[in-house]
Amino acid sequence: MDDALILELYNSRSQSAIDETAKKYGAYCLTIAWNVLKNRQDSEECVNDTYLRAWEIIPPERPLNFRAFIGKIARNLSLKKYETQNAKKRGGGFTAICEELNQCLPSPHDVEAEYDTREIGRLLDSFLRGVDNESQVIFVNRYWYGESIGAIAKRFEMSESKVKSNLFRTRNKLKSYLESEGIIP
Amino acid sequence: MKKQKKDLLIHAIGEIGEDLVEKAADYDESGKPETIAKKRNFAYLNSPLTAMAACLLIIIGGTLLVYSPLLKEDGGGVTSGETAVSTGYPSSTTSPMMQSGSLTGTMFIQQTASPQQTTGPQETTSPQETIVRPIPQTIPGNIQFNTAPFSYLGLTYAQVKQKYGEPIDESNSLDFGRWTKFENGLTYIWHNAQNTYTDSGDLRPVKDDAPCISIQISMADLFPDLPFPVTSSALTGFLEKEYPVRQLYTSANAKSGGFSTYLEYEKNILIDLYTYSPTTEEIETGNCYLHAPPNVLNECGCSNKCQPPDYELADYVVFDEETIIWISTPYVPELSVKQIEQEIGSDDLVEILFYVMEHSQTMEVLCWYTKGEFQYYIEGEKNEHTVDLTGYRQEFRDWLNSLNIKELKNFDGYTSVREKWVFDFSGLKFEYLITNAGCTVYIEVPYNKFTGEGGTTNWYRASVTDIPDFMSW
Repeated sequence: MDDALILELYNSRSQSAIDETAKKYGAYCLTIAWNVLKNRQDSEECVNDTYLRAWEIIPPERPLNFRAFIGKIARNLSLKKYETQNAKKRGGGFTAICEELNQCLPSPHDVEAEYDTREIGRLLDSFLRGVDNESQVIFVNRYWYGESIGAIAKRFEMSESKVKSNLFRTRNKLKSYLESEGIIP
Repeated sequence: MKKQKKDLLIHAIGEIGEDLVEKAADYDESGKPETIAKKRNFAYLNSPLTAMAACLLIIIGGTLLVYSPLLKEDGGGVTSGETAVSTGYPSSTTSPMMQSGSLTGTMFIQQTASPQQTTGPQETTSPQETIVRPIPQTIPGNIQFNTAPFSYLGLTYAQVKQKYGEPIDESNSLDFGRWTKFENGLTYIWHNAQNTYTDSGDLRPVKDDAPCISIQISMADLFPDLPFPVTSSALTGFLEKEYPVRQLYTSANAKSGGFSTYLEYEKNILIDLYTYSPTTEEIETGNCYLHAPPNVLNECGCSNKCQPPDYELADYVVFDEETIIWISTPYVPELSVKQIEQEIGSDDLVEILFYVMEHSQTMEVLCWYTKGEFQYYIEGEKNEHTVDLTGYRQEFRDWLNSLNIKELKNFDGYTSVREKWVFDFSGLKFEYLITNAGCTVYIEVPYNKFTGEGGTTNWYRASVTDIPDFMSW
């Protein structure tokens, strides 16, 4: 079903909106949740919560890109659950994904005191639009979707080491960018 | 909303434009991703000639898959004889992230999943971990040993004997395999692929051409002024003061109470000093152990107080012919890898090998780089090579006891490491534990877990075929 029709179902408060969402984007959301949580039950729970959340906020929300919109909900809910669990048990690769990004921010600097996620997010958005296409997509797959290096390597048909190198370079660029923007002194 | 710094960027990237998210996803309507190759419109994939070659490869791959069980991956608990290709994920929930197969010049086969996995993702089975893997280049029975790394010290058993005379003591070690002490006070660890015990229990002589893989020395001998008792802070402070250490890392091990300290003297030289919950006697005598590159060892004298600790695990990184890095605790490898990546660069690193052992409450996996292509499976991801078995201890033991053991072999140090378990992991979290280059499964287990006999620390390798679900992650 076309996204516009699905959204129309939400707007008309038809519960089939959730069915159609699940049918079209259930696997998409499940993968996003899985990449963070590495646990089937938790992931499915997050996906169900995603539907519920979408149901609660549409309307009034009118997403222009429904897939990214609902994926973002799934990701945020998964992150929330991940933090709750603190990833102590078999946190999978997501702990490392976080740590990789953390390398872009030096520990002595208390970034959180001055910036919030949206401000940093805008900078990240700007940064990513400035890097080459391949690096951009790899970066988003890794840090937005939480994909493993192996999965990205297959997807891009390149070696894992090349993916790693690409991410490493992009992170370094990001660090420099954040410095240039005054986020990092 | 303010976030903790450690989470700031991972949350912040959630705020990027939806078009970027959409672009990265690049799914078609069925939820399956387009491959980048498709997206790029690679000419070679579109040419008739290439198409024929691709078909040929697929046919060969299919043939091999059907007729050669040795080439079948076993990762998810393969039942002997199974040849079905499965995504391991139900079609109704096929992961949009999962690439259903690709042909990139390397032939791939799909992992055959366990029956449980074919009914849906298990708790720890990722949709994208239903793997399309390269056909292994080595198969059981024809394992390609790479002994080159073990010869970097340039010492063989015969050479050391010639120099230092007959050994004063020698034995096996859980961690290091065959070791020998000589009059010079050093303990040499040998690589020896042969069984070190005969059927009657006698210790076999070390082969004359066995290469030395490590030398051990007492920390007290190397650093005679080191204050005791050895504590992390004392060691750190001492070394920082006395030695031109460029960087020093200390990693506490809360479980054992020990700690590890890494000394980076200069580029390409990083040594690992570690203690392991030293006893009073060890503290008093300074009998804590050091792994160090030979260029350090050669400059010092030492006594004969060196003995391989009986449970410490160790692995090392080889950068060149003279430099080794030992990695000896389960939580250190990722730190080291990151440092290695940052400080030295991956270009100087090459092959990576994993090594798995049951130890304490974790399944430890250590990494090792050698010459060759740098295969970066560790990815600096902590949980990809530290498996918490806390919840599975009993199951694990039960499983070990129920193994259909086809053979038992002495596990002498790094024998298993040489067998290149690792180059087909393709991102699987724990595949290395249960997967060899073919369909045979190897795992190291303590001898006494099979026999119930105690008092031995020899490790053996079991060849098994059935992997319990809880280990299929």
